[in-house]
Amino acid sequence: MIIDITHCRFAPGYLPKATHGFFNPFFAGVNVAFRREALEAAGDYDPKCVTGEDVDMSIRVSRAGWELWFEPAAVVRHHDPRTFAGLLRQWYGYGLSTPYIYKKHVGRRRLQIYRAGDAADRTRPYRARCIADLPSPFYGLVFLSAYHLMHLALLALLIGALARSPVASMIAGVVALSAGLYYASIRFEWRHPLRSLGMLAMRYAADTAFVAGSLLGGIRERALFIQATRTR
Amino acid sequence: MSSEQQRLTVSVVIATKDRPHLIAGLFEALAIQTLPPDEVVVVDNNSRASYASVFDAFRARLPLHTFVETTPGIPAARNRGVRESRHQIIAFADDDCVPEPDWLEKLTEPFYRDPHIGAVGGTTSNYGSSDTLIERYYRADRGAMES
Repeated sequence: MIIDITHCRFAPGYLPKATHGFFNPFFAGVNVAFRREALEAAGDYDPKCVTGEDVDMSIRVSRAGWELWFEPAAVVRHHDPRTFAGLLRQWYGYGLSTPYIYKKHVGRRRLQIYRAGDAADRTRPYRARCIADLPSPFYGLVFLSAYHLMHLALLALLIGALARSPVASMIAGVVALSAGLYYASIRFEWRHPLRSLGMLAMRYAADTAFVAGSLLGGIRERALFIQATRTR
Repeated sequence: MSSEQQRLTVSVVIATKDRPHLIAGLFEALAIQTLPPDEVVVVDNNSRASYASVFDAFRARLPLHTFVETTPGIPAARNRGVRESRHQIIAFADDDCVPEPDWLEKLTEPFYRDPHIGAVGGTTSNYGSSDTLIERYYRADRGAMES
């Protein structure tokens, strides 16, 4: 999700300042330039960041009072072929690294619940909406998405089945199916059903890698982290 | 850039590990920039592979300064690069990337526009021309995937 903040980058201009916690927009380390004074004000790259050192640096430069400017005409191309394993590693790594950066920048202990904005609408900046920001004895960041609802409902279905409760199982089943169908329908192109199914499988794999990475990264930081990619 | 303003000098900092075969593409792209970098700082993050031949091949065409950083990890390599760099703007490039010829010109332009701008980020337009499903996925999700 903090990755998704990059989605506000659709036209040249200043990146918006943070509105919630550590939801700062950021520049990926692959294509960024700094004024020397800004880097010096922010300090060294944090060696504790396995990945996400670019996110951390953008936050610090911004908080040191500097503006961040997005210039879409400055283009860099990857020439390494992308692989499925690389996709999983990338999202797992994002998940693993964000709880540390979150804890570092959010300040007090809070449980924050977010909902992703409409990522499909590319004419508007990407937004993550904070639905609840609660005092909490631990750091927590939970995203609500169809992906999570589907899995919660599947868990409820399993429990319902084990408890031999047909009504509970049926309700959980209907919820799981609805959430699953909604999740599958996002950007599904009926003209290309096979390709859409392939894309769906990859999105599911990326989401799962991200959720797994963030859960584990959260545990390491003694925080509850349940994230979602920018799909809803 | 207005003529009264002094030109900002630019260091390009590259952290790399075991990719001498890829870095030639990046060097080639840096050598043909419309705004040539004032220096190119390469930090080899303790590679097993040797960069000697690719460094030698480009020394005449790029103001290369090369270092070896033994502490593993991107943060340590980048910090070393920043410390060794000498110019007013520090631009980062990855060893597996190829910038467009006007990359550095476009990336540094905004710094002249507003003295409060501390960082400028560009677009990472991926992903070859291949039509495999994974490349398609990256293209469809770009923005979310950039890094």
